[in-house]
Amino acid sequence: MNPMLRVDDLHVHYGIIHALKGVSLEVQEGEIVAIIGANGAGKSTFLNTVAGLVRPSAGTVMFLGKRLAPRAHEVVKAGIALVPEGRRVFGNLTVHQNLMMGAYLRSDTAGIKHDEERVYKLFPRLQERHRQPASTLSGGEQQMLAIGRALMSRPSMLLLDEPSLGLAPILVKDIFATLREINAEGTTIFLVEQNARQALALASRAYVFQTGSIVLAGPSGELLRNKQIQEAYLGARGADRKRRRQSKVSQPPA
Amino acid sequence: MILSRVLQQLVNGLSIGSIYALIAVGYSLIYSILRFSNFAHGSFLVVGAYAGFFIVTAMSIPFIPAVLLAILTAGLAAVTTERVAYRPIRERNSPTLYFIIASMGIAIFCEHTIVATIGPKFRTYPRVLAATGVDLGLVSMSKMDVMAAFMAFLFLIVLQYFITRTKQGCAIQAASYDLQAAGLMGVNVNRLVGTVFLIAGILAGLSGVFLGMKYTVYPQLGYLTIKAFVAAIFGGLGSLPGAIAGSLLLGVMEAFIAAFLSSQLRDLFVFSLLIAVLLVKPGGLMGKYVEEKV
Repeated sequence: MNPMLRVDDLHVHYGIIHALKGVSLEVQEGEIVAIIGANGAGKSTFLNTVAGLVRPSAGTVMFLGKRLAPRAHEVVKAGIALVPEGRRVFGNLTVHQNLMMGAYLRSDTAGIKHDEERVYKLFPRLQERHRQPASTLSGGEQQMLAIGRALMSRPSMLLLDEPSLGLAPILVKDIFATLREINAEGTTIFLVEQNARQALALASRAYVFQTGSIVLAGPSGELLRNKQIQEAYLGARGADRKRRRQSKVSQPPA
Repeated sequence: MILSRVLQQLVNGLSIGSIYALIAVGYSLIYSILRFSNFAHGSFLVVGAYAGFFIVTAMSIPFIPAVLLAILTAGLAAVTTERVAYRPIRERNSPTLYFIIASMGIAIFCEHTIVATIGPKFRTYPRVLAATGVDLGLVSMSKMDVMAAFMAFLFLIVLQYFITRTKQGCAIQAASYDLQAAGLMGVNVNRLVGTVFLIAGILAGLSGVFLGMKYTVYPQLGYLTIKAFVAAIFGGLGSLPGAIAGSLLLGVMEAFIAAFLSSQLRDLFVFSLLIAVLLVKPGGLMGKYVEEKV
């Protein structure tokens, strides 16, 4: 089967910084795939490159058998929607207007209305607040809005950049359950997460990024059992962690 | 009679204030999208003023179509400026300072190009409307001023409708909050920025035509935009109703100071006002002081 998304030898440079060093991966239609890794591993850079916010210096991104255009609005048109890191909802617009912005490329009024209802069904809190400016929402509600807004373009693939960032654990659970629901309705999901445990619980398989390269890949269950992964990303108890904590304490105050 | 004098100054102030508003709104619009002070804004105004002058004097086109042609020229000048000077800076994600310096360069380039080609002398628009006055009992206004104020408000109302009631307008509002995120919604960011410059250029060009008719046309006419910048900050940078309110208030205050105190104090007052606003209420009258969300 041809993969839905195929990335070949993707490189990104920020000036002299080589942020992505030849990343190649695939996502099949209907999957939930995660990228995990530490801060600065290039996870966000990768997602932003696919979404057309960052220009790659080399490599190709194929989506549904076609080369993906390198500009954000063309990526949306091709059927990929990004829920960006930090949510980035339009604080000066109402919840309803934010959702309408998500449907910017569509003109089928009835379909847009239907999808807005669907978003409200997924996130009832948004319906209660549909006339409020997005800036008045809590962090969790903003994350719901950001996901809902992305769904309004009817994407075949949803990209999420750190959806759990800054949210209470209970809320993370809710949002991840909703993501599973969205996937069950037919949207392929590709997410980047620092919260590796949550990400591996949701995704069927994952790629592990480290300093701009993929160092490990496999089914989530396998990665969860992997000792290195446990120590590096799942907060497994061990001498290493204790040592790190001690060194933190002994650091002189800034 | 004191009432008549007060009313007359009020009318004069609103008249010049409506021209400031045309400049301030475009300036504020560009600021809200690209977050920099476009010092080349005066150049758009000057292009409009000269285009209007040459179209009215050299071609035998009726007045209104001539004005429309002139402001379209100014709009295209603004779009070209963005395309040539600002877009490369934008696409390289360079610091805001680069935009500011580029815009200053354009302003100087434009002024000296006009001096070198058209010449530095003052030119007077043919008296199309200015000679006749409208007498309203206590106050009188030149027909030109009445039309300028009328057209200014017509354009501003159309703009307000466009921004608050249409899909493209909503995209401009969204882009003023987060330009990149607007791109993620499927908005063609380059086209949106181009549209904003077209609108700003057209409004500046219209003000240029009116200023040219009210006073004269000369290469440094664009310096007047500094007052509109003050008005935009006074009203609240980034807010269109704020820019309009600030412009009208500034126009009226200027008229009163010039009439009842001294016309030499007028400009001193304008810049003292700027300093006072920045010290006391940096968000201006209607400024949306957007707090950074984490």
